[in-house]
Amino acid sequence: MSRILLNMQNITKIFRENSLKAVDSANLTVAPGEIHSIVGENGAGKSTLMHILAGELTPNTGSIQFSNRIVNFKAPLDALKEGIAMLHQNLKLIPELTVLENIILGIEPASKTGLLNKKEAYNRIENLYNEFEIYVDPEKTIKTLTADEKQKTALLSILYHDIKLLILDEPTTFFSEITTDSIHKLIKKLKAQGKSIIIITHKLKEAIAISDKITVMRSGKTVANINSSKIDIKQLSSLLLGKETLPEVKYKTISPGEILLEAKNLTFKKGNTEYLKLDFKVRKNEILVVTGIRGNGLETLEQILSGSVNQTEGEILYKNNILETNKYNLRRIGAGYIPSDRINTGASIKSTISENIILLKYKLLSKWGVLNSKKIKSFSTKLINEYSIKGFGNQKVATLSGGNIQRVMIAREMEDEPELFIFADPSRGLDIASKRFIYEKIHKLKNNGSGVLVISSDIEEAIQIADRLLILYKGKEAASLENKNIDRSYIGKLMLGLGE
Amino acid sequence: MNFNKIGNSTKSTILALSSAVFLTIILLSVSSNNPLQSISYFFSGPFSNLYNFGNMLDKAGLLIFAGLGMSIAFRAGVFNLGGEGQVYAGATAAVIISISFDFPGKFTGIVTVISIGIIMGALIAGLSGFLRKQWDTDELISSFLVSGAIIHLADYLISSPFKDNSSFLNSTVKIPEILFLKQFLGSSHLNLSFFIAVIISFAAFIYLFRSTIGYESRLSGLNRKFADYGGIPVKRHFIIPMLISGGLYGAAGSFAVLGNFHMGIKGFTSGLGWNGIAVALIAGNNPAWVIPSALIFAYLDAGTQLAMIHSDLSFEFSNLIKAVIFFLITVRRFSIKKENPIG
Repeated sequence: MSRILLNMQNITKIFRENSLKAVDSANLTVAPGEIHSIVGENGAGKSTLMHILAGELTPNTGSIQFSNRIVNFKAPLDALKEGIAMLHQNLKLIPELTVLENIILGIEPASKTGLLNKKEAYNRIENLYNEFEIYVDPEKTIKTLTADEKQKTALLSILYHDIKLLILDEPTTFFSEITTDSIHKLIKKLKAQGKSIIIITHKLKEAIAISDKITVMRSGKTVANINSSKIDIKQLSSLLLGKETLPEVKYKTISPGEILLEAKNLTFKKGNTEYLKLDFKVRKNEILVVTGIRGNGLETLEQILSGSVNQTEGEILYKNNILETNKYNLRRIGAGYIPSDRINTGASIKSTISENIILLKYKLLSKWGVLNSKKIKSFSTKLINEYSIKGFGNQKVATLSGGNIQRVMIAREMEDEPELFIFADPSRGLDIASKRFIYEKIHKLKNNGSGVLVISSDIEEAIQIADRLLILYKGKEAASLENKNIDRSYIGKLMLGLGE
Repeated sequence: MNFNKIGNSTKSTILALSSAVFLTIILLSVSSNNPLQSISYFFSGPFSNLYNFGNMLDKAGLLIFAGLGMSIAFRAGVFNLGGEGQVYAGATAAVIISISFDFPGKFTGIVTVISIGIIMGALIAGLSGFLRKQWDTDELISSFLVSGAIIHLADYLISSPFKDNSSFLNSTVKIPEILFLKQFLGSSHLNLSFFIAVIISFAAFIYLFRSTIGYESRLSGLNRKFADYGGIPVKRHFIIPMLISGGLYGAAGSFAVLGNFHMGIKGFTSGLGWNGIAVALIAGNNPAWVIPSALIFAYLDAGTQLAMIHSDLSFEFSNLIKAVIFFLITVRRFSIKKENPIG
C-alpha cells in the first residue's frame, strides 16, 4: 500500500463575483517525499486549488485529508499549524520590520521571562543557513533588501516553521535567475528529508525534469495525473491544451524604417556604481528586445523610460527630438507601455474592467467633463470582444486570471496602434495560448508600422519575437545582434558575461 | 427579498445597525429606572410630533453635508480628519459676516454668507492637501492638528470680540432676520438646507461616478501608481478632494447658522465633523447612500437626546449609546473579508 500525505477530493470553488467555477471537482493526492507539479494554463485553477490547500480560500465543496485526518482550514495559520506552507508570487513581508522579525512573526520564541528570545531565533536561522545555504542578514530591514534577498527572506520564514508540505507558486518565474538554482537544490533537500513539495508551474520542461508526478489542470478540472518519467513535453502540452499543440508560427520580417526612439549614452549612476550605460535605436517596423539576466540593467532601463528615475547622463530622442522621460511625456507622444509590475502599476485591480480599459481614453469618452456611459460601454465591450477577455465591463479586475488581466492591459495600450510600444516581460507567467496571442499582437503592431521595444529576461521569448537583440551585462551592451540563426547557448554565455 | 442575494457589505451594515439597536435596548434597560419609558422615547420620540421630526430632518441635512465631505475625500484616498474644525470655521465665518455687514437682499445675503462658509472650510482643508502635494506631509495628521487650532481660534472669536455682552451664554448677537432660512415644519428647525443637501448628494454622486475628474480622483484613491502611470496628474488629487471635502464641511457649518442657530455659540457645531465620518462609513463612501445613512444617524441621535430629556437617562449614558453605535459601524467597515482569486 502506498502511503498518502495529502488527499484532496472533489474540491470545487465558485467565486461569488463572476459565479465561475475556478476549481471544478478537482482531486489531488501527494505521497510523503514526493515532488508534485501542477501544470495548466492561466486561469486553469492551479493557484486557486493551492490557495484552498494553504487555507487562504475555503472551498464550496470537497474534502481535504492530511496526515490521515480530515482537515478544514479557515485561515493560512490553520494550514501552517498542520505543516502546510505556501511561497507566494507577491511576498508577504512587512517592510518596516527586520528580516529576523519577519521570519519569526507569529511564533516568536519566548524566554523564561516572557520576553522575545532573539538568541534562540538566531540559532534556528543559523541552522537553516547551514542546512539550505540560504542566508540573509537577520538585522537588515526589509525595506533595504534587494529583490533577491526579499525572496530569500520569504523562503526562510517558511522553512523556519516545521513544515511537511511546501507549495511553491511559479518558483522559477517569479524568483530571479540567481535563486532558481538554489530553489532546485532546496526542493531536493526537502525531498531527502521526506517532505513533500507541490510546484505550480506552466513551464512544462521544468515540471518533467524536477517532479515525480504531474497533475494537469484544465478549466478548473484535474484532467490527468501522471508519472513524469512516462511522459514527454509534446504529450504533456496536448493534455494541457486539450488538443494537439498549435504549430510554430513563422513571423514575417520587414525591413525596418526610420528611427523612432534613440538612446544616446543613457547612463544611470549611483555613487560609484554604474547601473546602466547604453546606446540603442528602435526603428519603425522593428522589434528590439533588450535582454539579460535580471539585475543587469533591465529594471533600470525600464525605470528611466517610464520616468520613475532620471538618467544621470545622456539623452533619449523621440523622432530626433529630446524626450524628457516622464509619464506625461510618454503618454503625450502616444506611446503604449506595459510595465513589468502588472498588478500594482499596470492595473487597478480594485476597479472594474471598463475603468481600467478607458484609462487613456476617458477624456475622449466624455463631454464637458461628464463621462458618456453609453460610449464607455460600447468602447469596453468592443475591446473585451476583440481581445477575448473573459469578463464583463463591470467586473472587478481582481477577479480575473493573470492572463485576462494581461489582456485588459494589452487592449488598453494597443487599441490605438501606438507608433512606439514599450513592453516589459511580455509573457511572464502566461500559458502557451496567451503567449501566442501576445506575440501575434506585437507582430501585428510592428507590421503596421510601429516600433516595439521589449525588455525581457526570458531568452526563449527574446529569440522567438526579436528582429534585433540587445544583450545587457552589468548595465552595458554585451552584444547587439540581428536575430538570424542565433545560437541560444551563445546568448546565454553573453548574458553571463562569458562572451568572446 | 432574499437575504443571501444582498451583497456582503449590505449584510454587514444591516447586522451592525441591528446589533446597535439591540445593544441600545440593553443599555437603556440597565441604566434607566423606567426602561420602557426610555426605550419608547428613544425609538418613537423622533416621530412623536412635527417639532421633533423636523429637527431630526434638519440634523440629517447637516450630516449629509458632512458625510459627503468625508466620502469624497475617502474615495480619493485622502483623509480629512479636520472636519470638526472646518465645520466650526465655516459656521463662525458665517456668523461674523452676517453680523458685520448689512445685506441689501435676502438672496444675495444668504448666498454670500454660505459661500464664505464654504470657502473657509475649503481653504483650511485645502491647506492640508497642498502640504501633502508639496512636501508629502501626512494630510491625516495636518488636517487634524490645524482643526484643533482653528477650534480654539473660533472659540475665542465667539466668546471674546464678537460676544454679546447682554447674554449669559458664550454667544454672539443674533444674525439679522433677513438671513434666516425659511423653516418648513411648524416651529421645528427644518429648513431649505435639508433639501439642498439632498440635491448636493446627487451632484456628488455624478461628480464621483460620472465625471472625468471624479474618475481621476477615484483611480488615484484606489491605485495612485496606476493613475500616475496612465498620465493622470495625481498630485492634483491631493488638493481637489480636500477642497471639496472642506467646502462641504464649511457648508454644513454655515447652513447650521442660517437655518438653525441664528447666532454663534461656543462649540455649537461640535460633533458634526466626527459624525460625518460615521455617516460616510455607514454609506460605504457612496453619496447615494449618504442620505439614508445620515437619516439613520440623525434618528439614533434624536432618539438618545429625547430619551435623555424625557426620562432619567443621563447625558453620559446617551453619549455612551452613541459611541456604541459608532463603534459597531466602524468595526463592520474593517471586518469585510475579501477573497482575492488568482490563477
